[in-house]
Amino acid sequence: MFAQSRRAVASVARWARWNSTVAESSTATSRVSMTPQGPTIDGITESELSAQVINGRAIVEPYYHPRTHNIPAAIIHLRSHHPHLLDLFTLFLKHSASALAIPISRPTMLPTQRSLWTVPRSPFVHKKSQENFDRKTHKRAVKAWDTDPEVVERWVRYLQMHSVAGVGMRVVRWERAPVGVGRQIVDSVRAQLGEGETSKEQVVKLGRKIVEQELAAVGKEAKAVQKQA
Amino acid sequence: MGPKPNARILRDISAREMVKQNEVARRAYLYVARNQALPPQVRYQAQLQLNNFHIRTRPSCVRNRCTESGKGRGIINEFGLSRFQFRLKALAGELPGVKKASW
Repeated sequence: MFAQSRRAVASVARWARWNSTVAESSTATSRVSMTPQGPTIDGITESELSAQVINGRAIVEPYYHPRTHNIPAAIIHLRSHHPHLLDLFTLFLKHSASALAIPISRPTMLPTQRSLWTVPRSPFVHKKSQENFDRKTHKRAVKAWDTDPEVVERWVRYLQMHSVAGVGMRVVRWERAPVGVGRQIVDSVRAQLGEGETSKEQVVKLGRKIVEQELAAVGKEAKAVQKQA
Repeated sequence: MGPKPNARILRDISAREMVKQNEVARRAYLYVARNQALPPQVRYQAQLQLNNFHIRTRPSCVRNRCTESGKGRGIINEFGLSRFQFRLKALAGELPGVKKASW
């Protein structure tokens, strides 16, 4: 029994090292080696490690990747009437984010919403004898930073695929738009509407035309003067 | 399996259907009748047309009723149930998360 537990400790330690290669790369590089299947640590590939049964892997706190640029990418709200299911799914969410190298915050405990109802016990009259009912809505929020929108999309789809019945999820995403996106939108709308130039542009164009005509007239006069001379 | 239909439940169902069918026409006549920019003659005619609609086409004729028992009073909106049906269902554990409370 003792030997088994020691083995379990060793495998958990190896798993923890797998999840902390980003943080302590300087110390981990000595153990990491490349093979055709990908990087290995202590001669075990990542897929092999994932296939292993490690007792207690799920109760270990995941590795939280450090934020690199502090740019918000998404915020996930979870809510449920059952706190145990909610905690289970929150744990799954944390571990999946860690596996996808998404820097996330610690899950925030949002205030629990409590709805109360008081109804008479009887179907008719007897208001003095009533019964109280309540429903609690427990909430958690997790923020994610510095992640490509596609990775966020895959993470959310993975969470939806393994969603727990009785736990609701709402995702708010923030994406970076290129510089000048507002001008592009305005231009595309104007193209769709079929509008030409604005009055300002028309004035400028007409002004240039007049200047050209005047210059041409001046040039003709000059030539005529030269011919006469 | 809903409640056993009685006259009030059937009246409510009929009202909901008639309101849905005549909603656009009613709103249009109401818009004309209340538009102060239009001549009084037109507005008066629109008002007369509004009066010609069946009484069950009025949205106020629709009333929330219990989906289990058809009761018209004491409805808890969140579940669409009357207070007694709510109690029965809550005690049977059929409403997710609803429990007996005490404070």
